[in-house]
Amino acid sequence: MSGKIFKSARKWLAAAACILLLGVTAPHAIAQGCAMCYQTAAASGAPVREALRHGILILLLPAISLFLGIFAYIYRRRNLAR
Amino acid sequence: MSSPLESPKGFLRRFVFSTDHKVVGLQYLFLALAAVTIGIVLSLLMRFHLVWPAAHLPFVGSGIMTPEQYLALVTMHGTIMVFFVLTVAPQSAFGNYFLPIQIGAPEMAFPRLNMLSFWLTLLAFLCMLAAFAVPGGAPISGWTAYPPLSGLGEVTGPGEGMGQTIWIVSIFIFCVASLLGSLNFISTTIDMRAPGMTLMRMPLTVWAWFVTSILSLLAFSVLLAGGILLLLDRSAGTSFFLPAGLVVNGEMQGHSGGSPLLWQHLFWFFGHPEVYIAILPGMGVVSHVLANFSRKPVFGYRAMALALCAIGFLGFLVWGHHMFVSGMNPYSGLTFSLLTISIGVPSAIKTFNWLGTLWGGNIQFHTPMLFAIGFVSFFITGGLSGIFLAQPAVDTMLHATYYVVGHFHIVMGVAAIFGIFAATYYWFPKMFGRSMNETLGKLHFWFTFVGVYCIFMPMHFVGVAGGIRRYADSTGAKYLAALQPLHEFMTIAAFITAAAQLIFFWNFFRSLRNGVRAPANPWNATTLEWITASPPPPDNFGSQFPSVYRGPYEYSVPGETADFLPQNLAPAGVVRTSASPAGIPQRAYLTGTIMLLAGVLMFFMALASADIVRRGFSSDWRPLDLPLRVLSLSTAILLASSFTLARSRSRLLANDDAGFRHWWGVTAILGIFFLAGLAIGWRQLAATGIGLATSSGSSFFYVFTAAHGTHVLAGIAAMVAVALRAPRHLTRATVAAVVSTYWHAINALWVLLFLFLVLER
Repeated sequence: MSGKIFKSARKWLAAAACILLLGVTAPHAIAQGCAMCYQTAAASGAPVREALRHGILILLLPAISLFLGIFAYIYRRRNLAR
Repeated sequence: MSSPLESPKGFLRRFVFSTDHKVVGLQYLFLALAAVTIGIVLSLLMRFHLVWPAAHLPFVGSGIMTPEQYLALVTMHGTIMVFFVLTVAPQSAFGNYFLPIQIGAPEMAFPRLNMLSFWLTLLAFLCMLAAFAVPGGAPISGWTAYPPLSGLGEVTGPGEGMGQTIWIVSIFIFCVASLLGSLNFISTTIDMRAPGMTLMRMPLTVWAWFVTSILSLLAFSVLLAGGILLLLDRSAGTSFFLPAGLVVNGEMQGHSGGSPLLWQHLFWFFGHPEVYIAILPGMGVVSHVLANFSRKPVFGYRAMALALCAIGFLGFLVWGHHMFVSGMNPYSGLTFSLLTISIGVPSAIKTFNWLGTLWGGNIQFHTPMLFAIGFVSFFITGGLSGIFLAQPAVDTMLHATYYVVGHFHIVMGVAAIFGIFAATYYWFPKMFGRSMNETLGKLHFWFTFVGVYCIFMPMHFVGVAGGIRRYADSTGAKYLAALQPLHEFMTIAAFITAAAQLIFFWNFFRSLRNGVRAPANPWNATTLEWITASPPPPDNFGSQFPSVYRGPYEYSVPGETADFLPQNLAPAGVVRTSASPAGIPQRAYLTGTIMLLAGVLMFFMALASADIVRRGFSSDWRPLDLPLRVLSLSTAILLASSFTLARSRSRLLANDDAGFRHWWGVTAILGIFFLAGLAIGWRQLAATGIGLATSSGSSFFYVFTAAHGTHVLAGIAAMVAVALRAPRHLTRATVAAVVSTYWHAINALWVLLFLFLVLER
């Protein structure tokens, strides 16, 4: 029994360590994808950056919601046949 | 028009204007073959010019290629390859042909829409090619069409006049075709599956086509919105992407307040997922082929399916992240960064599981298997070179060099094309009933595999040494002289690799007529496309519609005598049930409408996002004096139309035909009143001297209202069409449900837009 608990705890610890590792390295991956876009944005004034952040969220949130929504839709119909 | 499930008579209906998904798939495949041939020729011209820039070419006007003509080749090669090859072949061609068969369906959910998608894509392709023929020639702004170069017109160079306009129109048509295609794919996957085809029994190819369709639906809507704004900048004098104070060739340009960064914002929302649109179907095909020829189940099927979904999902976050964190405290962007770098996890899962599938397998090195292994090789190589580009300091140095060219060609171009080759060799016997020659196939593989490494690996070294991309002639720069032998090597490799493609074309077209006749299941495979004849009959299964009892990759199952178990093989003791008859379920129409609305929502969100970003850039932004009275009245009319439509639907459900028609008509009339209200609002604004290009506020107002008005007009047209002639395949309840869902959603969208416009003041 205790062995089982120990195994499970080890699994969680390993998962936590992986997440921590990702977290530690994450800030260094500031411009993953394209440094040029990032630098162009960073070189703009504060109001521009603020507007850009709002603009990105306005596009990102519906895209993510719709993506997940379509998966929820197909999951609800997972056992429906033609 | 005949029913999609009958074999149509006559050449035109059977092979040209066919609604059969298999014919449409083949039409897409031949379109992609034509496009890739043109794309390769353009790339060879570029490579030739880079090595022998002073050579006389007979088809170039002055004999020697100018830098502008070189840039036109760069633009057209990129555009044709990205849109008409990498997007069309793996998804539209093979997806159209095999998705319905693999899920046990007789057809796509919307066969006529499918046909329309193809013809629009062909129209877009012809439009794109027409750019070569107009005065000034093809555009020179690259496949990303960055403004201000792409937004100013002829003044910025040859090709930026009519050529660029045609380019934008072509992309516009392509976006519409892709949206229609993707909503068809999604509806088919959701609603047309055979009995027993649960989500976890779908082949990984189906998962890949499904996720790619969602990406297309959401990403192409945004590109469509961006394209419209760019076209307005060019033709109507607006300033969405064009800043003030631009002087070109000594001429002051009359634009103000826009920013090219806004185009980057919209374009890369499409551009990032586009990478996955190109590569995901290849991943599906490779998983499918590796399992088949390793005679082993896909290692970690569930993880592979989830990884496909995760890559699609995280693809959007990658886009959001790279500009979102700019100017923020680095730790504020931690969540975003964390999610962004986690995209490496599903990619690593896929690579690991491909190797796991191969491990210990009874590997058969048929041609499709070789190309699938080649895909894995290029995916890993391109992925590794991408790690360096993820570091801002390194990326800044390498961004404009050949390093980037080598990287994205390997990971996005060659890997995806190897997926296409694997699919072609694998499914050729099913599509045409004959096999391609294996020896020629293997010869084609080795020449291509070695050839593309010889072309694109040296590009990494050239890039690190400072070789700049997009330069038509680098022989004049002293510091680049040492790189010229490498360029010569790459050019020779390119010509040899291109020549090797003639082996493929010879093998392909010769096998169509003279290939060895293929049995129904030549590869001893398990999925449903292999249980039917080669080529499949018009309804795919000759009226013997399958039920599914097993997972898609049951190879070498312990205790079984056969080393493969088809999906429709009932386990011992299970009584086989007859599958449902052919036909399109009514609920698919509602699903299609919901998907269409998802695309419409993304389109308007792109416009709203552009408005917000543009306002942040503006020094010239000032609130617009909206014609509030008439807009409020129009809004009230539109809201009232929602109630009358609900009334119409309730009358229909109560079998009151006269009541249904009455309220249906009232709704359409209210819609017309709404449009009249918008027109009056426009007129009032115009009377005060406020036009489309007066200010950014007025530009967005006109764009928003025109776009929404178009959607209302489409709703009215649908109502009138239904009133005049009821659709043959839909019940009246379905028609009412579909139109109601569309109309209520469009009305709700208007309320949000109206509030947005009012609050913006």
